[in-house]
Amino acid sequence: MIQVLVNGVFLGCLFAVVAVGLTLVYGVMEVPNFAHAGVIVLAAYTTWSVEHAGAPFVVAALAGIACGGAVSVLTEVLAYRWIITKPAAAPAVALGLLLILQNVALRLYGGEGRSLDTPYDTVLLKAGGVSLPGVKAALIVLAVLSLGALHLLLSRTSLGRAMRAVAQDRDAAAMLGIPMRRQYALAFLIAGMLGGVAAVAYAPTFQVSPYMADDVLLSAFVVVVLGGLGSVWGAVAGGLVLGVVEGLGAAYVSSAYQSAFGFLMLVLILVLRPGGLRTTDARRVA
Amino acid sequence: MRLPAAARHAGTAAGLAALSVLAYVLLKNVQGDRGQVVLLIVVWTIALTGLNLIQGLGGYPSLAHVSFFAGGAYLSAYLLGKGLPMAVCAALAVGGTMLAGLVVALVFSRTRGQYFAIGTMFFTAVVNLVLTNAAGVTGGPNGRPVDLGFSLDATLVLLAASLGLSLGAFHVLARTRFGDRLRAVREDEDLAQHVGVPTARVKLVAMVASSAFGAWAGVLFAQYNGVIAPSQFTFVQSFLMLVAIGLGGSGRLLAPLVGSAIVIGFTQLIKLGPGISQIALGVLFILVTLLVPNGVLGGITGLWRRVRPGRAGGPAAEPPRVRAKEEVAS
Repeated sequence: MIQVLVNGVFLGCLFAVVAVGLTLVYGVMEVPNFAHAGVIVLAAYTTWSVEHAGAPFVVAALAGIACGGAVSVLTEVLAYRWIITKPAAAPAVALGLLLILQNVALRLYGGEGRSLDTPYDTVLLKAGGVSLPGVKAALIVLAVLSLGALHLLLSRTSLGRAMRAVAQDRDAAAMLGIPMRRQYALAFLIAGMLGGVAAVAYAPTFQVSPYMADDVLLSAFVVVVLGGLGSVWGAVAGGLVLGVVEGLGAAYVSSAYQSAFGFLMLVLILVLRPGGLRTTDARRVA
Repeated sequence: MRLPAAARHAGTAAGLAALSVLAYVLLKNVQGDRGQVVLLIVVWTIALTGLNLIQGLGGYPSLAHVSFFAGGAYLSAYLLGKGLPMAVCAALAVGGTMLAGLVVALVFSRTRGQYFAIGTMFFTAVVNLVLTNAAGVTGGPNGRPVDLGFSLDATLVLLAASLGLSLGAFHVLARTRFGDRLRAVREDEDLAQHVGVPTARVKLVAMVASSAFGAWAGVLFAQYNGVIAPSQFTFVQSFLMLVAIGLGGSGRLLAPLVGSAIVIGFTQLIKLGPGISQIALGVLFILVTLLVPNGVLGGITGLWRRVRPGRAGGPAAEPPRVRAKEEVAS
């Protein structure tokens, strides 16, 4: 039982890191960033190829995170920036970007999965009958560290204050002289770097392939709906809840249908609360 | 009411009939890879006509459409395997899928915009998960063969006829009060609700109707193809369907045909190597979304108007493409 819970927490941390990236972008720009999966894939491939070229793992991981940030900012500058006034076009553009990014990965690295080796591959933590592989422990640590850093950034710095202001009310923030474009780019940079962290931490438990992030992205969107679009702490809490639910479902019902439990949860939420559990903003999106 | 309307739209009806005949001739005579392309374009047009209702007229980007397509294909194949006659199988497959469409609509038509896209996308992902894992019924990841229910010739006739008939059905539906209500939902859902449009019911009906088109296309696709597999019904396919409608021009009569021709043409005909054609499609789609929000057909009618300024409606002798422009006016 505790083992199942620990696995759930692992999944939850992964979902939370991805979902916080989605919700940040949604908060400042109201874009459902489906392309985030593509960012994760490219970051994972970058890590793999840098490590494959002989660099130490830490360098490769940093390269991957940097690549995630760069690609994410690129999607903002090249595409999302132009549809700020047309929120209805956002899902379409996001899916178009996902198509492009995934196929760039497919083109560059081919379709077969690659395995990413880490120095902590062989580590196995054991405590009282519960075992936790090193890669999963590393993911939990990385998630806590990066989300903690994000919390400090959002709550303690003027940049973070500006970003929260933009998320609360774009027009008012613009009127008060907050440079909007910089905030957009910054949100995408942070989201992309979190995507990179997710990629580096998650790829060793699975394998690197162009479609590795699809399931995670879907679950992360459920998390975002759970926590309310645009809410960072909602995303963290929602991530842990969903991770534990999927972990329990996979352990006690059927592991093949793991992400279907997330879907059931999504259906339940949408039936009970069509606007998500925590919506602060009744803005019309349609 | 229907008959005089049909008489007034005789030009469109004749155009669609000609399209059906053309489709039959092409399906009958084009062989090999190109034959497959023609088949896919015809099947997609039938399926996408349904999507054009909910996405084009209603403004709801449904990513569940490929699931309805899969529903028709898999249900008919399964029932045929049980030894039922083909007509019964087809009816049950379409009916069953419409029931699923009703459930999806009940859950997700309560949501808007982004939430709707996310929810329907997840639905498609779960359907694909079931198709891949419930190997006893669906044959698992490698798919399953489909018994021959219709003779090949009958399938071809049905495909060609369904092409014209479904486009015709869309043409009629778009002109009924139902079509107007859907457009009202697209333009401003709150306002529509406020002035008395039963938005929830309209969305529900549109979703169920769209699932019927998708399911019927799936039945025909399975019959022609002879084998179906989960990889034909992934959420990427669902997204490409959305792209096709957007490229063609949301809500326009011929958008499904133009859109599927572009999408299928890009992915099947132009051999740029793996991935490249999809990258090109993604770039093209984003550019069209940004620069020509009304799609290719909308762009053409816009140009046409600029070249020939004058009365908006135009004389009745013009081809269906121009007819579609009335859609924007209303």
